[in-house]
Amino acid sequence: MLTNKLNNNIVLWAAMILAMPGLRAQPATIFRDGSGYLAAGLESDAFLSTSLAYYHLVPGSRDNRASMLHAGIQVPVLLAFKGEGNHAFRLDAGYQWGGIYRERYCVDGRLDLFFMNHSAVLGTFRPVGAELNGAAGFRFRRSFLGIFCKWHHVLATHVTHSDYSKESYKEIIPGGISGFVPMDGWFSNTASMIGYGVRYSSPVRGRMALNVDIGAVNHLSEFTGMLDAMMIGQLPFMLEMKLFYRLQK
Amino acid sequence: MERLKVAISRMNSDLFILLSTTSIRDFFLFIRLDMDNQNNDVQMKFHYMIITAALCFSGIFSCTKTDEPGALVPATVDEDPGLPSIAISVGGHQRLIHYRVFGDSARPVLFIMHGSLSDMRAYLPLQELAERYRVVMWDQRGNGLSERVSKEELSFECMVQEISRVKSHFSPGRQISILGHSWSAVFVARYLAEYPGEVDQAILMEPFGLKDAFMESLDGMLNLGTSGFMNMMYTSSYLTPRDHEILDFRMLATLRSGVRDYFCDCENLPDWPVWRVGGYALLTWESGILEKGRYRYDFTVGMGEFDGEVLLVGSECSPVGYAFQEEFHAGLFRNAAVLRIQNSGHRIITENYPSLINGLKEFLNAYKQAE
Repeated sequence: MLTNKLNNNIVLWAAMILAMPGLRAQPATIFRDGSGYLAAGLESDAFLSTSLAYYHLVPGSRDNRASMLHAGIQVPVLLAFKGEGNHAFRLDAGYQWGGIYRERYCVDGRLDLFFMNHSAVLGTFRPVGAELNGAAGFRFRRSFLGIFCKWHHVLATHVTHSDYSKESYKEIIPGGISGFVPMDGWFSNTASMIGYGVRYSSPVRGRMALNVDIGAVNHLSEFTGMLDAMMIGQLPFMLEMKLFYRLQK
Repeated sequence: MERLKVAISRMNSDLFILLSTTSIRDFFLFIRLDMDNQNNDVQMKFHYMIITAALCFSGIFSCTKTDEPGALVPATVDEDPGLPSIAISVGGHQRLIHYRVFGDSARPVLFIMHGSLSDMRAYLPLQELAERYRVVMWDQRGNGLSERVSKEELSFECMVQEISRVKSHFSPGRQISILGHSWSAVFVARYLAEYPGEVDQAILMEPFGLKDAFMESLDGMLNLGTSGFMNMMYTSSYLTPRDHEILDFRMLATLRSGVRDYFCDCENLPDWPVWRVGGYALLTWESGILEKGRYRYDFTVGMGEFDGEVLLVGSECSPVGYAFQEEFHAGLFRNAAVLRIQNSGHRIITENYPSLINGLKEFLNAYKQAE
């Protein structure tokens, strides 16, 4: 347990340090022309989520490096259609940078800050966190194939207990009152997970490009193994597909 | 004191929001300044950003910790000394368990053991049986308001040992009657095999298959298409079970998810009141019967040793209900009967209590003798 907490703190600081090169407005990905992109995505969160984001290409100082600022929203669509888990969404804003070395090796990095909102049977949750994503691989004539690793950490979550959740605190001491009440408020470091897998990016047609991430997710929990965790909704795999549309030449 | 604590917590929350907002704004301001490279006070801004980031981190660290007793889920007996508890020694560890006793101490003892993802709260109506028995209920180690324990202490051997220790405390030298529901019915079955002389009558409410082959006969019982399950999936991105508190809190949602298809109507689940579920205990037990994704276990060894009366209780709708108990379990015991509970799924106590209590009273010796 202690090791876990220590790891979380180390990773937090590591994220800050790794984010610093991004501040220097480096790099490049396969997207090196145009001024902005719209991206529509499908993700495996809650079985199926959709996202919409805008990426703004920041002019780089060199041809083989580029960086982008982006902001977007993700909505778990199946959950929305089911009519429960109302107002579930995630807002992202971040910075992405990448570079091409020796003409065929690509390195890509991305830092997102996110805010989520989710109402469920246990209450309403508003997490804020950071996601650090790195990829390395080969650039072919038009496409990119590589591996990625991402670290997702929720810095704090605001919890408002539901009536159902509060009910569990009642009638604990017969004829008496328990000294504990459910605490609404901010809880720190509520989640941490690492994803890793394969990334493929390629221009599709005209102004469009496709980015696919397929991989595994480890929830960094000593309490759940990969299969056991499925019972509480922690799937050990992830899929993310994004279609980019270049707004202008 | 509590009010002061809440006030400080709120203050920290507000401070955190303020610092986060400031920090994010400065982060982007800094990027712009750096990219433009037209401003001479970049270095000053950089220092300013570092300071705000440090303050932001201190804000995060001043938030409530998820494992703070009683913050996310009710505190356990080792954290709240006001709760009734006794210490028992199981697997070489002394642990506190939360318990309740009803009825005259001179009466025969009846143990009532809760199932998984539960505690004794839902079973409290059965204190009605205290008119003829001394009814003892407790939250098993790792469950409810009892102390949380390690994986090793949740082994099947330790669970049987726990029953033996509780019996030594409440009914030394006297036979007991015992009721177990779901997972506890399995532990009771093992207790009967290992301590056949200690039990007068046993009631097994919907144990799942006592042998792997019995379980193989069941179709999938998981329903992953429910909105409850999708909500739990979405929750995974911001609540990782790093400690017992988060795990138990998240498992509370499982009770309302309909993922386990044990009910007559999966869209309208029956109530199941709990204080705190034992998430780690369930995960440990379930992984204990699986080997490479397949069931590999046999709890029936020695079951024939028990020659007392056994009442198997099975509901109409549960996949491990009446038909399952009749087909697979009734023949395992020398003297077993099966009670069918109509219009009910696995949560028999809250779904059809009148049928259950009548059936129990017809079976239990203290009631028969009183007639």
